Amino acid sequence: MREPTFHVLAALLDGSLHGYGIIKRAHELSDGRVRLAAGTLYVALDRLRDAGLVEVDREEVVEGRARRSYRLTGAGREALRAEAERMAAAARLVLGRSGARP
Amino acid sequence: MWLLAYPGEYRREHDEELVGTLLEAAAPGQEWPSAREAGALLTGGLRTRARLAAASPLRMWTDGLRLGVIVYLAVACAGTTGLSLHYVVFGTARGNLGYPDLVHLEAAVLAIGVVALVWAAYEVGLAAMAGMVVIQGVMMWNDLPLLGGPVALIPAGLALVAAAVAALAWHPSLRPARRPWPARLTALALAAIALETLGFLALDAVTLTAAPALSRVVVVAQPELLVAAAVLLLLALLGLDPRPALAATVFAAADAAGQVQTLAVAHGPGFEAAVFAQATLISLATAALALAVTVLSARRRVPI
Repeated sequence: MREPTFHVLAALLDGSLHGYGIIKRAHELSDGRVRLAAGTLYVALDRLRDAGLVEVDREEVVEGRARRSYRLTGAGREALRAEAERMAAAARLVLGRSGARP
Repeated sequence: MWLLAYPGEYRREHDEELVGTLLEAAAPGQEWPSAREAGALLTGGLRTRARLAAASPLRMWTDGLRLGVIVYLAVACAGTTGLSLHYVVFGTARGNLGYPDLVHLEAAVLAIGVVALVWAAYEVGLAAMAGMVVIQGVMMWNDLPLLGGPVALIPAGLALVAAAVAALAWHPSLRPARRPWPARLTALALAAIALETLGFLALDAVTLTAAPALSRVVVVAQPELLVAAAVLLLLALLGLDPRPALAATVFAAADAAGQVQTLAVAHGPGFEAAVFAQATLISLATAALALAVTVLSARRRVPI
Protein backbone atom coordinates (compact mmCIF):
# COMPACT_ATOMS: atom_id res chain seq x y z
CA MET A 1 0.00 0.00 0.00
CA ARG A 2 1.38 3.42 -0.97
CA GLU A 3 1.76 6.02 1.75
CA PRO A 4 -0.88 8.51 0.48
CA THR A 5 -3.37 5.63 0.21
CA PHE A 6 -2.75 4.68 3.83
CA HIS A 7 -3.40 8.24 4.98
CA VAL A 8 -6.59 8.50 2.90
CA LEU A 9 -7.97 5.32 4.51
CA ALA A 10 -6.88 6.46 7.97
CA ALA A 11 -8.62 9.82 7.49
CA LEU A 12 -11.89 8.03 6.59
CA LEU A 13 -11.80 5.79 9.68
CA ASP A 14 -14.12 8.06 11.74
CA GLY A 15 -16.74 8.56 9.02
CA SER A 16 -17.37 9.86 5.55
CA LEU A 17 -15.53 12.93 4.23
CA HIS A 18 -15.36 14.85 0.95
CA GLY A 19 -12.11 15.53 -0.96
CA TYR A 20 -10.85 18.53 0.98
CA GLY A 21 -12.15 16.99 4.22
CA ILE A 22 -9.78 14.05 3.68
CA ILE A 23 -6.83 16.36 2.99
CA LYS A 24 -7.57 18.36 6.17
CA ARG A 25 -8.14 15.28 8.35
CA ALA A 26 -4.91 13.60 7.18
CA HIS A 27 -3.08 16.86 7.93
CA GLU A 28 -4.51 17.02 11.48
CA LEU A 29 -3.99 13.33 12.25
CA SER A 30 -0.32 13.52 11.28
CA ASP A 31 0.31 16.78 13.19
CA GLY A 32 0.87 18.59 9.90
CA ARG A 33 3.34 16.10 8.45
CA VAL A 34 1.07 14.79 5.66
CA ARG A 35 -0.01 17.27 2.99
CA LEU A 36 -1.96 15.40 0.32
CA ALA A 37 -2.06 17.16 -3.07
CA ALA A 38 -5.46 17.04 -4.82
CA GLY A 39 -4.00 15.13 -7.80
CA THR A 40 -2.50 12.51 -5.48
CA LEU A 41 -5.70 12.25 -3.43
CA TYR A 42 -7.90 11.44 -6.44
CA VAL A 43 -5.47 8.88 -7.88
CA ALA A 44 -5.64 7.11 -4.50
CA LEU A 45 -9.45 7.44 -4.23
CA ASP A 46 -9.98 6.10 -7.79
CA ARG A 47 -7.77 3.07 -7.14
CA LEU A 48 -9.45 2.47 -3.78
CA ARG A 49 -12.89 2.59 -5.42
CA ASP A 50 -11.74 0.17 -8.14
CA ALA A 51 -10.53 -2.19 -5.41
CA GLY A 52 -13.76 -1.82 -3.43
CA LEU A 53 -12.05 -0.40 -0.32
CA VAL A 54 -13.84 2.95 -0.52
CA GLU A 55 -17.26 3.91 -1.88
CA VAL A 56 -19.12 7.11 -2.65
CA ASP A 57 -21.28 8.06 0.32
CA ARG A 58 -23.13 11.15 -0.93
CA GLU A 59 -23.23 13.34 -4.00
CA GLU A 60 -24.30 16.90 -3.32
CA VAL A 61 -24.02 20.34 -4.88
CA VAL A 62 -22.10 22.86 -2.77
CA GLU A 63 -21.66 26.44 -4.02
CA GLY A 64 -22.79 25.37 -7.47
CA ARG A 65 -20.27 22.52 -7.75
CA ALA A 66 -20.84 18.79 -7.63
CA ARG A 67 -19.12 17.29 -4.59
CA ARG A 68 -18.78 13.68 -3.48
CA SER A 69 -18.08 12.34 -0.06
CA TYR A 70 -16.45 8.96 0.44
CA ARG A 71 -16.58 6.29 3.13
CA LEU A 72 -14.67 3.13 3.98
CA THR A 73 -16.17 -0.24 3.04
CA GLY A 74 -15.78 -3.30 5.26
CA ALA A 75 -12.95 -4.51 3.03
CA GLY A 76 -11.33 -1.06 3.32
CA ARG A 77 -11.43 -1.16 7.12
CA GLU A 78 -9.87 -4.64 7.04
CA ALA A 79 -7.13 -3.64 4.56
CA LEU A 80 -6.27 -0.59 6.68
CA ARG A 81 -6.05 -2.72 9.83
CA ALA A 82 -3.87 -5.32 8.10
CA GLU A 83 -1.54 -2.60 6.81
CA ALA A 84 -1.30 -0.99 10.28
CA GLU A 85 -0.48 -4.39 11.84
CA ARG A 86 2.22 -4.96 9.24
CA MET A 87 3.71 -1.56 10.02
CA ALA A 88 3.52 -2.20 13.78
CA ALA A 89 5.31 -5.52 13.33
CA ALA A 90 7.99 -3.78 11.28
CA ALA A 91 8.34 -1.12 13.98
CA ARG A 92 8.71 -3.81 16.69
CA LEU A 93 11.72 -5.20 14.81
CA VAL A 94 13.58 -2.02 15.71
CA LEU A 95 12.03 -0.16 18.64
CA GLY A 96 12.88 -1.37 22.15
CA ARG A 97 16.11 -3.03 21.06
CA SER A 98 19.28 -1.72 22.62
CA GLY A 99 20.91 -0.89 19.28
CA ALA A 100 18.05 1.43 18.36
CA ARG A 101 18.30 3.65 21.49
CA PRO A 102 19.42 7.17 20.80
CA MET B 1 -5.19 24.03 -17.64
CA TRP B 2 -3.39 21.35 -15.64
CA LEU B 3 -6.57 19.31 -15.77
CA LEU B 4 -5.82 18.65 -19.46
CA ALA B 5 -3.45 15.94 -18.23
CA TYR B 6 -6.62 13.97 -17.39
CA PRO B 7 -8.54 12.09 -20.10
CA GLY B 8 -11.71 13.80 -21.38
CA GLU B 9 -14.06 11.06 -20.18
CA TYR B 10 -12.69 11.45 -16.65
CA ARG B 11 -12.84 15.27 -16.77
CA ARG B 12 -16.52 15.23 -17.70
CA GLU B 13 -17.27 13.14 -14.62
CA HIS B 14 -14.88 14.62 -12.02
CA ASP B 15 -14.05 18.12 -13.21
CA GLU B 16 -16.18 20.05 -10.72
CA GLU B 17 -15.21 17.87 -7.78
CA LEU B 18 -11.47 18.18 -8.48
CA VAL B 19 -11.64 21.94 -9.06
CA GLY B 20 -13.70 22.33 -5.88
CA THR B 21 -11.10 20.47 -3.83
CA LEU B 22 -8.26 22.50 -5.42
CA LEU B 23 -10.05 25.76 -4.56
CA GLU B 24 -10.72 24.68 -0.98
CA ALA B 25 -7.08 23.66 -0.55
CA ALA B 26 -5.76 26.89 -2.10
CA ALA B 27 -4.56 29.80 0.01
CA PRO B 28 -6.88 32.85 -0.06
CA GLY B 29 -6.29 34.92 -3.19
CA GLN B 30 -4.27 32.20 -4.88
CA GLU B 31 -5.08 31.94 -8.61
CA TRP B 32 -2.78 29.18 -9.82
CA PRO B 33 -2.00 25.82 -8.23
CA SER B 34 1.37 25.65 -6.48
CA ALA B 35 4.19 23.76 -8.19
CA ARG B 36 3.51 20.80 -5.91
CA GLU B 37 -0.22 20.71 -6.76
CA ALA B 38 0.58 21.16 -10.46
CA GLY B 39 3.06 18.27 -10.41
CA ALA B 40 0.52 16.06 -8.63
CA LEU B 41 -2.15 16.98 -11.22
CA LEU B 42 0.23 16.11 -14.08
CA THR B 43 1.17 12.70 -12.66
CA GLY B 44 -2.41 12.18 -11.44
CA GLY B 45 -3.74 12.84 -14.95
CA LEU B 46 -1.20 10.54 -16.59
CA ARG B 47 -1.88 7.78 -14.07
CA THR B 48 -5.62 8.16 -14.55
CA ARG B 49 -5.09 7.74 -18.31
CA ALA B 50 -3.09 4.57 -17.65
CA ARG B 51 -5.67 3.24 -15.18
CA LEU B 52 -8.57 3.69 -17.61
CA ALA B 53 -6.61 2.19 -20.52
CA ALA B 54 -5.54 -0.79 -18.42
CA ALA B 55 -9.18 -1.94 -18.43
CA SER B 56 -8.47 -3.42 -21.87
CA PRO B 57 -5.02 -4.96 -22.57
CA LEU B 58 -5.69 -4.71 -26.31
CA ARG B 59 -5.99 -0.96 -26.02
CA MET B 60 -2.47 -0.70 -24.65
CA TRP B 61 -1.12 -2.21 -27.88
CA THR B 62 -3.35 -0.31 -30.30
CA ASP B 63 -2.88 3.06 -28.55
CA GLY B 64 0.89 2.58 -28.31
CA LEU B 65 1.28 1.49 -31.95
CA ARG B 66 -0.89 4.31 -33.21
CA LEU B 67 0.89 6.96 -31.14
CA GLY B 68 4.26 5.67 -32.37
CA VAL B 69 3.21 5.91 -36.02
CA ILE B 70 1.71 9.37 -35.48
CA VAL B 71 4.90 10.69 -33.85
CA TYR B 72 7.05 9.19 -36.62
CA LEU B 73 4.94 10.79 -39.37
CA ALA B 74 4.47 14.07 -37.46
CA VAL B 75 8.23 14.49 -37.02
CA ALA B 76 8.80 13.68 -40.70
CA CYS B 77 6.01 16.11 -41.61
CA ALA B 78 7.46 18.90 -39.44
CA GLY B 79 10.92 18.41 -41.00
CA THR B 80 9.58 18.28 -44.56
CA THR B 81 7.32 21.30 -43.99
CA GLY B 82 10.37 23.17 -42.70
CA LEU B 83 12.27 22.30 -45.87
CA SER B 84 9.25 23.19 -47.99
CA LEU B 85 8.99 26.62 -46.31
CA HIS B 86 12.72 27.06 -46.79
CA TYR B 87 12.23 26.58 -50.54
CA VAL B 88 9.30 29.02 -50.56
CA VAL B 89 11.25 31.71 -48.71
CA PHE B 90 14.72 31.30 -50.16
CA GLY B 91 14.01 29.54 -53.46
CA THR B 92 16.21 26.68 -54.57
CA ALA B 93 19.35 28.81 -54.91
CA ARG B 94 20.44 28.16 -51.33
CA GLY B 95 19.40 24.53 -51.24
CA ASN B 96 21.47 21.98 -53.07
CA LEU B 97 18.65 19.44 -53.33
CA GLY B 98 16.64 20.16 -56.41
CA TYR B 99 13.10 18.81 -55.95
CA PRO B 100 11.11 21.69 -54.43
CA ASP B 101 7.79 20.63 -55.99
CA LEU B 102 8.17 17.10 -54.70
CA VAL B 103 9.09 18.40 -51.25
CA HIS B 104 5.91 20.54 -51.14
CA LEU B 105 3.90 17.51 -52.24
CA GLU B 106 5.63 15.29 -49.69
CA ALA B 107 4.84 17.71 -46.85
CA ALA B 108 1.16 17.78 -47.92
CA VAL B 109 0.94 13.98 -48.19
CA LEU B 110 2.58 13.58 -44.77
CA ALA B 111 0.13 16.07 -43.26
CA ILE B 112 -2.77 14.06 -44.73
CA GLY B 113 -1.26 10.90 -43.23
CA VAL B 114 -0.97 12.49 -39.77
CA VAL B 115 -4.56 13.80 -39.81
CA ALA B 116 -5.85 10.42 -41.04
CA LEU B 117 -4.12 8.55 -38.22
CA VAL B 118 -5.22 10.97 -35.53
CA TRP B 119 -8.76 10.47 -36.84
CA ALA B 120 -8.20 6.69 -37.00
CA ALA B 121 -8.93 6.67 -40.77
CA TYR B 122 -6.31 4.00 -41.35
CA GLU B 123 -7.04 3.36 -45.06
CA VAL B 124 -6.37 7.01 -45.85
CA GLY B 125 -3.20 6.80 -43.76
CA LEU B 126 -2.01 3.76 -45.71
CA ALA B 127 -2.76 5.51 -49.02
CA ALA B 128 -0.72 8.52 -47.87
CA MET B 129 2.19 6.21 -46.98
CA ALA B 130 2.01 4.56 -50.39
CA GLY B 131 2.14 8.07 -51.86
CA MET B 132 5.25 8.75 -49.78
CA VAL B 133 6.97 5.67 -51.17
CA VAL B 134 6.26 6.84 -54.72
CA ILE B 135 7.47 10.38 -54.03
CA GLN B 136 10.65 9.20 -52.37
CA GLY B 137 11.21 6.71 -55.19
CA VAL B 138 11.03 9.51 -57.77
CA MET B 139 13.44 11.63 -55.70
CA MET B 140 15.94 8.80 -55.41
CA TRP B 141 15.60 7.56 -58.98
CA ASN B 142 18.68 9.44 -60.26
CA ASP B 143 20.80 8.25 -57.36
CA LEU B 144 19.80 4.64 -57.88
CA PRO B 145 23.28 3.48 -59.03
CA LEU B 146 24.68 4.80 -55.73
CA LEU B 147 22.02 3.08 -53.67
CA GLY B 148 22.72 -0.45 -54.78
CA GLY B 149 19.48 -1.34 -56.54
CA PRO B 150 15.71 -1.06 -56.36
CA VAL B 151 15.54 -2.55 -52.84
CA ALA B 152 16.56 0.89 -51.57
CA LEU B 153 13.42 2.39 -53.10
CA ILE B 154 11.18 0.89 -50.43
CA PRO B 155 12.06 2.87 -47.29
CA ALA B 156 12.36 0.32 -44.48
CA GLY B 157 11.25 2.70 -41.72
CA LEU B 158 8.12 3.71 -43.59
CA ALA B 159 7.42 0.06 -44.43
CA LEU B 160 7.62 -0.79 -40.72
CA VAL B 161 5.15 1.89 -39.60
CA ALA B 162 2.89 1.05 -42.59
CA ALA B 163 2.85 -2.57 -41.38
CA ALA B 164 1.77 -1.31 -37.94
CA VAL B 165 -1.06 0.71 -39.52
CA ALA B 166 -2.11 -2.25 -41.67
CA ALA B 167 -2.32 -4.36 -38.51
CA LEU B 168 -4.53 -1.71 -36.89
CA ALA B 169 -6.70 -1.39 -40.00
CA TRP B 170 -7.05 -5.16 -40.29
CA HIS B 171 -9.66 -5.71 -37.62
CA PRO B 172 -12.58 -3.47 -36.62
CA SER B 173 -12.10 -4.23 -32.92
CA LEU B 174 -8.66 -2.62 -33.06
CA ARG B 175 -10.12 0.75 -34.01
CA PRO B 176 -10.56 3.34 -31.31
CA ALA B 177 -13.83 5.20 -31.13
CA ARG B 178 -13.68 8.33 -33.27
CA ARG B 179 -13.01 11.17 -30.90
CA PRO B 180 -12.89 14.91 -31.42
CA TRP B 181 -9.61 15.52 -33.17
CA PRO B 182 -9.04 19.26 -33.78
CA ALA B 183 -7.80 19.72 -30.20
CA ARG B 184 -5.56 16.65 -30.46
CA LEU B 185 -4.21 17.82 -33.82
CA THR B 186 -3.46 21.30 -32.48
CA ALA B 187 -1.63 19.79 -29.53
CA LEU B 188 0.27 17.49 -31.88
CA ALA B 189 1.23 20.36 -34.22
CA LEU B 190 2.49 22.44 -31.28
CA ALA B 191 4.42 19.43 -29.96
CA ALA B 192 5.96 18.83 -33.41
CA ILE B 193 7.06 22.47 -33.72
CA ALA B 194 8.48 22.42 -30.19
CA LEU B 195 10.21 19.15 -31.00
CA GLU B 196 11.80 20.52 -34.18
CA THR B 197 13.02 23.54 -32.24
CA LEU B 198 14.34 21.39 -29.39
CA GLY B 199 15.99 19.10 -31.92
CA PHE B 200 17.78 22.04 -33.49
CA LEU B 201 18.80 23.36 -30.07
CA ALA B 202 20.13 19.95 -29.08
CA LEU B 203 22.03 19.83 -32.34
CA ASP B 204 23.45 23.31 -31.72
CA ALA B 205 24.55 22.29 -28.25
CA VAL B 206 26.30 19.20 -29.60
CA THR B 207 27.91 21.17 -32.43
CA LEU B 208 29.23 23.75 -29.97
CA THR B 209 30.61 21.31 -27.46
CA ALA B 210 31.80 18.37 -29.51
CA ALA B 211 33.78 17.57 -32.58
CA PRO B 212 32.06 18.10 -35.95
CA ALA B 213 32.10 14.35 -36.55
CA LEU B 214 29.75 13.81 -33.59
CA SER B 215 27.38 16.52 -34.81
CA ARG B 216 27.08 14.70 -38.16
CA VAL B 217 26.23 11.51 -36.27
CA VAL B 218 23.54 13.36 -34.32
CA VAL B 219 22.07 14.83 -37.53
CA VAL B 220 21.74 11.36 -39.01
CA ALA B 221 20.31 9.94 -35.77
CA GLN B 222 17.54 12.58 -35.96
CA PRO B 223 17.68 14.64 -32.76
CA GLU B 224 13.90 15.30 -32.96
CA LEU B 225 13.19 11.59 -32.66
CA LEU B 226 15.64 11.24 -29.77
CA VAL B 227 13.99 14.15 -27.94
CA ALA B 228 10.53 12.68 -28.66
CA ALA B 229 11.65 9.31 -27.30
CA ALA B 230 13.02 10.95 -24.14
CA VAL B 231 9.76 12.86 -23.56
CA LEU B 232 7.60 9.77 -24.12
CA LEU B 233 9.73 7.60 -21.83
CA LEU B 234 9.43 10.28 -19.13
CA LEU B 235 5.63 10.30 -19.57
CA ALA B 236 5.60 6.49 -19.36
CA LEU B 237 7.58 6.48 -16.11
CA LEU B 238 5.56 9.33 -14.53
CA GLY B 239 2.23 7.85 -15.54
CA LEU B 240 3.17 4.18 -14.99
CA ASP B 241 1.82 3.77 -18.52
CA PRO B 242 3.38 1.39 -21.06
CA ARG B 243 1.72 3.09 -24.04
CA PRO B 244 4.09 6.06 -24.56
CA ALA B 245 7.05 3.69 -24.16
CA LEU B 246 5.59 1.36 -26.79
CA ALA B 247 5.15 4.36 -29.10
CA ALA B 248 8.81 5.33 -28.60
CA THR B 249 9.80 1.72 -29.37
CA VAL B 250 7.82 1.81 -32.62
CA PHE B 251 9.35 4.95 -34.08
CA ALA B 252 12.87 4.33 -32.79
CA ALA B 253 12.71 0.88 -34.40
CA ALA B 254 11.41 2.40 -37.64
CA ASP B 255 14.22 4.96 -37.59
CA ALA B 256 16.81 2.26 -36.89
CA ALA B 257 15.39 0.06 -39.67
CA GLY B 258 15.78 2.92 -42.15
CA GLN B 259 19.37 3.45 -41.09
CA VAL B 260 20.28 -0.23 -41.22
CA GLN B 261 18.87 -0.27 -44.75
CA THR B 262 20.91 2.77 -45.79
CA LEU B 263 24.00 1.28 -44.22
CA ALA B 264 23.42 -2.00 -46.05
CA VAL B 265 22.75 -0.65 -49.54
CA ALA B 266 24.37 2.77 -49.88
CA HIS B 267 27.91 3.07 -51.12
CA GLY B 268 30.04 5.32 -53.28
CA PRO B 269 32.00 8.48 -52.71
CA GLY B 270 30.65 10.91 -50.15
CA PHE B 271 28.81 8.26 -48.14
CA GLU B 272 30.16 8.34 -44.61
CA ALA B 273 29.63 4.77 -43.49
CA ALA B 274 31.19 5.33 -40.06
CA VAL B 275 28.84 8.24 -39.30
CA PHE B 276 25.84 6.14 -40.32
CA ALA B 277 27.01 3.17 -38.30
CA GLN B 278 27.25 5.28 -35.13
CA ALA B 279 23.87 6.91 -35.76
CA THR B 280 22.37 3.47 -36.31
CA LEU B 281 23.77 2.33 -32.98
CA ILE B 282 22.19 5.36 -31.24
CA SER B 283 18.79 4.58 -32.80
CA LEU B 284 19.04 0.88 -31.96
CA ALA B 285 20.01 1.70 -28.37
CA THR B 286 17.04 4.08 -28.08
CA ALA B 287 14.69 1.41 -29.43
CA ALA B 288 16.11 -1.17 -27.02
CA LEU B 289 15.77 1.19 -24.04
CA ALA B 290 12.19 2.05 -25.03
CA LEU B 291 11.36 -1.65 -25.41
CA ALA B 292 12.78 -2.37 -21.95
CA VAL B 293 10.67 0.42 -20.40
CA THR B 294 7.59 -0.90 -22.26
CA VAL B 295 8.04 -4.44 -20.98
CA LEU B 296 8.82 -3.32 -17.42
CA SER B 297 5.88 -0.92 -17.18
CA ALA B 298 3.49 -3.45 -18.76
CA ARG B 299 4.48 -6.14 -16.27
CA ARG B 300 4.54 -3.94 -13.19
CA ARG B 301 1.47 -4.21 -10.99
CA VAL B 302 0.59 -0.77 -9.67
CA PRO B 303 0.16 -0.95 -5.87
CA ILE B 304 -2.95 0.51 -4.32
